[in-house]
Amino acid sequence: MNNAIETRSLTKRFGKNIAVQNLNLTVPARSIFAFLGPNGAGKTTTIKVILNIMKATQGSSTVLGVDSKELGPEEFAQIGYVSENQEMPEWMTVDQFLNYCKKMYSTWDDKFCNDLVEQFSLPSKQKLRSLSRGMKMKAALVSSLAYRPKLLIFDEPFGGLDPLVRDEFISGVLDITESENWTIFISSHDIDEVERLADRVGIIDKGLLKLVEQTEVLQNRFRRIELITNEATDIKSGFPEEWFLPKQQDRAVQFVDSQYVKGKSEDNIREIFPNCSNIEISGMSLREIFVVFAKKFKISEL
Amino acid sequence: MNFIPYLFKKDFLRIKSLLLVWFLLILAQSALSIGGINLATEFLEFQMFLPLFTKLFSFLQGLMIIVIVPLLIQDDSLVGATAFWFTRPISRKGLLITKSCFIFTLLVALPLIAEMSVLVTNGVTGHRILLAVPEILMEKLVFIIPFLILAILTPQFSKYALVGIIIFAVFAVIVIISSVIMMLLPKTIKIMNIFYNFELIGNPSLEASCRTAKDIYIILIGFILVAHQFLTRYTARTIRWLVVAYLVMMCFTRPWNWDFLKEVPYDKSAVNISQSLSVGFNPEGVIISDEVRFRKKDAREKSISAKETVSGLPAGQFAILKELKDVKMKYADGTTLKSKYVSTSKKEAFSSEKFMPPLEAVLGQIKLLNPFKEQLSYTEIFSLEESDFNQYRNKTGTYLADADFEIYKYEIGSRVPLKQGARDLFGSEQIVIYDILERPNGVSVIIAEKKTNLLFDREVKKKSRYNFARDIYSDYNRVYLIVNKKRNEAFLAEIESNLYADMMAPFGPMRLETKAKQFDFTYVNNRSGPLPKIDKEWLSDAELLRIDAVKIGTQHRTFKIENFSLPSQSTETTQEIDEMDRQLKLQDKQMKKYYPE
Amino acid sequence: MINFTIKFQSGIPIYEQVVYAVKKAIVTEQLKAGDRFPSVREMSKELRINPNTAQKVVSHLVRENILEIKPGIGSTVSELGVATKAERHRILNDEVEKLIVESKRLSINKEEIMDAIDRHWKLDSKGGKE
Repeated sequence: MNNAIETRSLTKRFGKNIAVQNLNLTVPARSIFAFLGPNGAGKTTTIKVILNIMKATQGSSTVLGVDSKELGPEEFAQIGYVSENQEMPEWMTVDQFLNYCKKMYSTWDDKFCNDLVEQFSLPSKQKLRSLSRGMKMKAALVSSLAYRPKLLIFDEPFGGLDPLVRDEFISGVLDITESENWTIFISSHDIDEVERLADRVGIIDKGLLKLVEQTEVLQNRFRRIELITNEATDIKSGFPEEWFLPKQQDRAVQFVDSQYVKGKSEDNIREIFPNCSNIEISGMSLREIFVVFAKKFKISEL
Repeated sequence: MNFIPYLFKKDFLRIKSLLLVWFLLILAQSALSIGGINLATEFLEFQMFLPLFTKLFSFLQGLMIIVIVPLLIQDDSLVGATAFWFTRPISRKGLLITKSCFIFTLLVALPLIAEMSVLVTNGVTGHRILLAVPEILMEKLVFIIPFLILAILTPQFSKYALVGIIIFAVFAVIVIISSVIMMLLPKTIKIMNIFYNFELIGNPSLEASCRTAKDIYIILIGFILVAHQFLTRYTARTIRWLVVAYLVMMCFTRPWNWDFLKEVPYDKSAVNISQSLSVGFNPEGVIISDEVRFRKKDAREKSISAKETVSGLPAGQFAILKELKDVKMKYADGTTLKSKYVSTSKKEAFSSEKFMPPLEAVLGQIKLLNPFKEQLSYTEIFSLEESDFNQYRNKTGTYLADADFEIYKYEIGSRVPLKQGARDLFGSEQIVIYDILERPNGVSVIIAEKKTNLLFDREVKKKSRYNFARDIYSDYNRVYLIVNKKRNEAFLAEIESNLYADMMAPFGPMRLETKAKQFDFTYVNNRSGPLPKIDKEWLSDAELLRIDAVKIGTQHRTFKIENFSLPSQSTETTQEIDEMDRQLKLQDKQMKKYYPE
Repeated sequence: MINFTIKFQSGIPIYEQVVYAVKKAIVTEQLKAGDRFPSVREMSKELRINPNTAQKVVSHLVRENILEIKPGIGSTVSELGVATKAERHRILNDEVEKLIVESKRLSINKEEIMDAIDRHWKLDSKGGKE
């Protein structure tokens, strides 16, 4: 099985509202996929449809090679799901909760579970309902990690959590990757946490997938270009298509090259700005790239 | 894939304190049913509290079910997109089976076993115990299922409670509004029959059959809907099916014609119903009274009552007038005056004329020492508007009415030796003598009457659910006497008091009716001359006898009274009025004698 | 345990940054030949990077003969890992170019730069720690 998750023309409608439209997504195994988009873009809906929590209106999806509609205990025994809006048996203590979950999975690793509990400083005898949000999420995480699932799906797991907790989360998650078979799918509206982790990024807005690309490729082809020009060049005309968001103030010109190729792009620059100087070409973080996209395609900003 | 043990355990853990309360409640109810009567007869204060406790416990049991079911189901909700188990390796089928087992074991099987134990310890035996099982199961399940359906269609307790209350309120409003409409516009009762199925009232076994069919339907549909929701989580479709199923239920229950629970009819071949039955009215006693109907406050109606007479019945039988239809006066000039609806339900006086002769016939050799001398009671025979009455009074014509009579026969139902602890088991009934108390002028006998009222017992007369007038005929229906076999002497019970009644059933019919009764027998009264003393000697050869009125058939007759006129005034004699007055005073005096507080 | 220093900057692919950091660590002798090199797992967890990226780093370094994998022990810095003169100069040139560009921007003249170099050299020679 090559792809942990695959969707084909996945569509989900709620009455008149089209939450997800014609989604085609592929998440290869052993990869970390960051699913980005503003609130209400359709990220949660996509995940819920993929996991058969909701039914698709049209199209299909498979998870771990199995059609979503057919997902059963066998598959869920290998899937970990952590979401802020998932219910937990609040009346249980942390211990009771983990013991309860343990019985569901044959691959449950007690030692790993205890290590995580210690690492997260979870209070064993306290009821879930009396835990803070961060603690609850950590408990949920432990209950989804301890059996080393092949596929981990996070739906906005970091919302409102302080950086320390986020850090602990990521640490716990990376422990999973020790096994042979793992895939991580994170949906978030905040790009910072996933920046260093994501192999691939998908951006969704208003139900439509705007972009899917490997982070490396993305970071390789985007450059911020700044230069001083000696002529009053009209920056509007003759600009290549792949140069985004041009700005000019006096003789300072700035734009983003979305198809940067070392050497060729410099030539292009000198062609369009024959007498320029102080050319600065700098790389861009994922966040900066995303902002450019947002502005370019008028996606609502994160 | 099927039963999930850890899920069962988890659910148990979740509601363990409630389950403890539940268990204790059932235990308390059982204990009360088993020992309650003893306590009630020995401690008078307990008599007051016993029925209260029983009703309270039943109510609590129902309340607990209403709360426990959603707690169980909604911990692993079937609605919405946030339940915990959706992404865990718990199969839908497993969930369904585990939850069903839990609910069945704890909320159905447990009370079932408890109640069966109660029945057994109360002396119910053999096939009756088995007959009780399906009835109890049905009753429990029918109560649980609506709440179960509500729980599987709502995501959490708050919604469950809200929707439940709204549904209840809607139904309540519909009932209130339709009642008001029916009161103000009686014609609409026909339309309302669609909702309330009035046609079944009056035929208890037909009503019970309809109810049973409905219950079975509810249980089956309930299971299907629940399974559907668990397995597909297709909430919209479950709700659609629910609505359709409800409408179907409304349809097939009206009209309902299949009376499969009809009691085994009395073996008519063993009895001889006379064809030579003739009916008439006692000409000496006719009463006119005013009636007011709700709608038109000003218009008065006149009601004419008389005492009906029936002759030609063989010994041991008597007839009760059930219904008068098509009542009218036909006049020589060709005019016809139709009567309005006449009501024949009344409290029959245990009159000397009607009931003593058949009673004495059954007693045969045994002499009844203190027969009652009450007068016959009046029956309404005509009803009309005041204006019509003024027009037709004293006008002579022929009175015509179609009458339905029920023919009864007195039979010896039970004999119990008059010793403390003696008992008699007969059919679905039991009489146990609890105590025999000496009195200044006689004796009091305290008994427990136990009766199983099983739905599927065809030897039992079904009780109507709408039985507003419960046991109003009880005076003549069951007659208790003490009989001295050696001397062939019998005394009727002067006073019969219910100590308390009714146990062990939530809101439905009592499966095990236990009534503690006290019968006072006295040899000092104003009706008969000097009577033999009821003393130790007399009592040593005595037994308690119960004579039952058994319905052996119905007869249809026509009242045709020629030369009859609607009288202008009542002809009830002062003698009768005095007699009625005296009876009341006597009763009062005797009550004070035995209960001197 | 990560035994080389790295400070992540945005805009440059992680993989490149780690490889560079390792090479720099070897050049500055923070990593010596024969030193144990952290496993993919360790790098991933401690640096909070994608394990695939960590794997890529290791593969790359092994391909360039900077690391060698010994069965049972893990990866270690190879003898040949110590950069060749050409490698060293290449790395250096990059740094020098960056330095000069920055200086010109900040209008710092050559003498001031030389002073700074002197000062820092002395500091680093003392083990780089105060």
